[in-house]
Amino acid sequence: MPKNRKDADKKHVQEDGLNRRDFFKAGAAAGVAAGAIALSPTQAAAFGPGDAPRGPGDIEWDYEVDVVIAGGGCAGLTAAIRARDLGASVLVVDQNFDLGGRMLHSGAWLSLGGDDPIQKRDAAGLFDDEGFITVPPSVSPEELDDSVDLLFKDVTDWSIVDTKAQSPYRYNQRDLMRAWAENAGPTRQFLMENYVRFSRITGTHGGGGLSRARAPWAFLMLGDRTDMRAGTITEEDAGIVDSERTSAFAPVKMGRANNNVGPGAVQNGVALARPLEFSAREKGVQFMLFRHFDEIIREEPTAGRVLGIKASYTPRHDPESGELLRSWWQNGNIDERRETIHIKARRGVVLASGGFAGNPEVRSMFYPAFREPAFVTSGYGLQGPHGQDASALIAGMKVGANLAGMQQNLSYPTTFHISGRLGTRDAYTAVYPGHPAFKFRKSTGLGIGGSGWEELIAVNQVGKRFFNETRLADRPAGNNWPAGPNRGQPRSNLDHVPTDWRNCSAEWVRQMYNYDHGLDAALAMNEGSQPPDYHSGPIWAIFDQATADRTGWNLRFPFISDEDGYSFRADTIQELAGKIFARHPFQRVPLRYLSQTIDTWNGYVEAGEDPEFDRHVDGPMHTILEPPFYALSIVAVWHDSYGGLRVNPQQQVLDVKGEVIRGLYAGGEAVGGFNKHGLGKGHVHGYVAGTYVARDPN
Amino acid sequence: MGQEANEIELQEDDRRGLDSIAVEILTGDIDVGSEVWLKATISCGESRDLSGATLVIKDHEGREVATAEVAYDGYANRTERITVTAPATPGIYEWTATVPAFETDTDEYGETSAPIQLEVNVFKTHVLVWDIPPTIVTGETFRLKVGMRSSSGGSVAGRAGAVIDHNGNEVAAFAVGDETRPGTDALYFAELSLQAPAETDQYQWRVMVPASDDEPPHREGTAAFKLRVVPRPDSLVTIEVVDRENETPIKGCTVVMHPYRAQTDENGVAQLRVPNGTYSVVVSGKKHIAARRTLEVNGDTSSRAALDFDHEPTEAAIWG
Repeated sequence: MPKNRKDADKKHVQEDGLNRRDFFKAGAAAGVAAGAIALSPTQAAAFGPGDAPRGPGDIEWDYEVDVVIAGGGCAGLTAAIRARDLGASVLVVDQNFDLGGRMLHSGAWLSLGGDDPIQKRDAAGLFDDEGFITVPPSVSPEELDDSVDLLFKDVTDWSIVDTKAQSPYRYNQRDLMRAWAENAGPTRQFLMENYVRFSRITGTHGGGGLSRARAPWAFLMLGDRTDMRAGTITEEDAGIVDSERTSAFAPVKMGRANNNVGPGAVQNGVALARPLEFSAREKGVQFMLFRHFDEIIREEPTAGRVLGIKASYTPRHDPESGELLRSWWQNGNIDERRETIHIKARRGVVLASGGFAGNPEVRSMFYPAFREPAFVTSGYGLQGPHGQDASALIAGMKVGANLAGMQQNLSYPTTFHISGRLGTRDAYTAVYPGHPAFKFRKSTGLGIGGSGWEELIAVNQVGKRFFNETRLADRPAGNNWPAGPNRGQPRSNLDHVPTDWRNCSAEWVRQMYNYDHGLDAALAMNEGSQPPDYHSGPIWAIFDQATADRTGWNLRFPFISDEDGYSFRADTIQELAGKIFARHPFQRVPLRYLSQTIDTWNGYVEAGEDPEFDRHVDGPMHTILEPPFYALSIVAVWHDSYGGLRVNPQQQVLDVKGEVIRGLYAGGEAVGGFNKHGLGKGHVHGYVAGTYVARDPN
Repeated sequence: MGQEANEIELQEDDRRGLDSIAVEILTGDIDVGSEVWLKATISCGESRDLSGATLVIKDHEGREVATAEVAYDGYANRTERITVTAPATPGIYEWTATVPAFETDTDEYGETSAPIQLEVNVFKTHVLVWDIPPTIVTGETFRLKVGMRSSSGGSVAGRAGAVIDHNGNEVAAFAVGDETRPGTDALYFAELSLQAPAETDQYQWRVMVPASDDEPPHREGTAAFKLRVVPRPDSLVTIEVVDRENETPIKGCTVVMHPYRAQTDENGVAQLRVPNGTYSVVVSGKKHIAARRTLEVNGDTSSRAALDFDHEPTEAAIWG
């Protein structure tokens, strides 16, 4: 194993374009041939929680396995299958009751490219081998004509800026991007070998480069049984039988994939996460759920090889019945309920436990106002309080790991934004009753789209307006370049000239800059911000019965709930303010200006002009006079995070001297230096980490 | 909203004393028998951690009504929100907040206390006015709705009130009905028919509801509302609103030619009678993006507005 980064680079160069294919073939063979896993609970815990061992020599390992993976999401499941295919025994620990992480509630629009078999299939006008796809390719062969070199150039393009004038690719770590570009195609192939079906390519997902179309959707076909081998799912499991219910299989209802696949197909993260989980279980990967990865155990505190992990019990119970929740599939699960255990990793540990968007203390280093704990990360209900809690970052720093790309948390258009889903805390996704996570959030939320904002006023925790409501939820659009269309991608990406200085000239930025900073006004200090935290507090959409009648909004369960403290109805504005203060968990101060704000607003409507925020410029204004009155919470979502542990092209974690921490790998949101949103980063990292950890000499 | 925080400087005794106990009353106007929320901050000069101290609230008769733990947040020593119940009869009451003697790791503190003044009133009468036409032609009869609600949440069925015009003259008397308005818990209402002034102008009128001595007694209530009295219109403006993609009419769109406004019917048509002039027309539908144009009105005029549907943003639009 290389001892330092220089060696690692050399090794990487030597293996360039060579070993990935060999690994794949070897992996496939190993998957078939693998026998029983040497995974054995060695003994009962030798010490209780809190009795931290003095050093690794004192540790009595509770389990021993070749590869331990922290987190069963897009990076973790991929790494697990890959390492298992290569003959390793693999144990995945995950803090939640079910697998898939946030991949499970994602859209599954997976941007890869380079040497991508789906690009080649679509470019040739071919269909999938199973014959599920019945629609022709969505984009031209020219837009699918990709290469590893072009992908590498794209994801290191210094010149691209978005409509907030941020540079998504400029600060990416170059060696990491080369490895990603080389492994993107093989990762696609690998996922397909593990029961994932991909639709037509329809564009390129954020951070995946601009020059070509690279992202298809994962899909399943509706059928009379749910069978990952056959690629079918029942309507019930897909969550599409009842418009206001979903299933325990699919936290977010699957969507019709008519345009991307054809009739009878459904798509979203379920079609990606469930096939991978099924394959992992089938191949003998073992899982320990309710098991939170806490610490990395290294030979010396900040030196030597990584030996294993310490992990704690984080059970989740049904809030109504009190019963312990269960994962959808059980095969391969290890039921371990001791408070703290130690797991030895003979070959290595892979940190795939996500980022830190759910940890207000950590994320506050990028945006101090976002230490406000009222605002959670997306998937809060699904993942629970330990989701995205910075565990990899915290544990990595403790053993001397370096960080990378931390400033990139501020350079992605929608890392944080105001959600158009009102009246629920977990506002990023719509989860309906039928999935266990619903009971933790209690409401689905009321989606008001972009046009709904003109129907209400938004007030801060003291009841004062703070921004033009119709612009509050605007997000900066994606990357813009002079030669291409004004918004979005990829349909004429061929027009785009990579690494051209005109892409970010001052003249061009002045012309295309388009961001209103409503989120920043929402997080601003106000009369209710008290020391020492000066939190901005919750924000509220206020409207009246006339709005409810005019819009036809579904102001009822499951969209809003009388029980969760995120939506209120009252006969008078005074009573409304009193209810919010009494029952919202983060309403720390009375909304003492609310009545006055409503009077002032009604005066603006009567005058036809909003001198404070120019609402009259953007749409009609409506009085708030007719009882009853409504308040729905407006939520700022910190969706994902980009900075993280620094790794080399083999996904080995590096220390502050640039040296490899032997036996420690990381991928996905745990890793920094790559400003790629979503799944494309995680799956490739998992594939690479699984490849190398399985061969790590112990 | 809220009463002044009560604060008192305390004498030092032989043990260390607290400098002050400040009790903030978080509830606005306090009604008889209502829930009152308090929050206390205690301090002792330099910023010291006084965790472990307890705050005791005693009522005007010296009865203990609540206790709360004091916690230090790195800045101040505060209690969580404390809930007490106001006395059942109106008046000004002096309660006390006391921190009994306590010890921290380093210091001993003597007992200290501070007064809390509660002003307790009979129930409030909230008055609401809605469904006021945005414009009313001079001298015409118009309708609006008046509602009443007791801060007790109890019935106010049959209570009487009056509408007072801009000159202070009573122009209508009314009593609210026996039924609560649908969707409300305790809002009683009446629909009134009124006559607009003869002169074009903007007026402020009021609804007055006198105090009531019936059990339980209530304070008086009032609500101001505005009337915009406009000249007789010259022309009829017809706006047809359609979806830009499929050309289908959109029902329920708002059309504003300030101060005139209307909603589109099943055929996507809104009609507004306006004086001639130049208007900025804003058109918006519930699931369509608002659009604006300038319209010159010199006679009956028709115009068509094609609105863009508010599609869910695509992944490419969000993440591109």
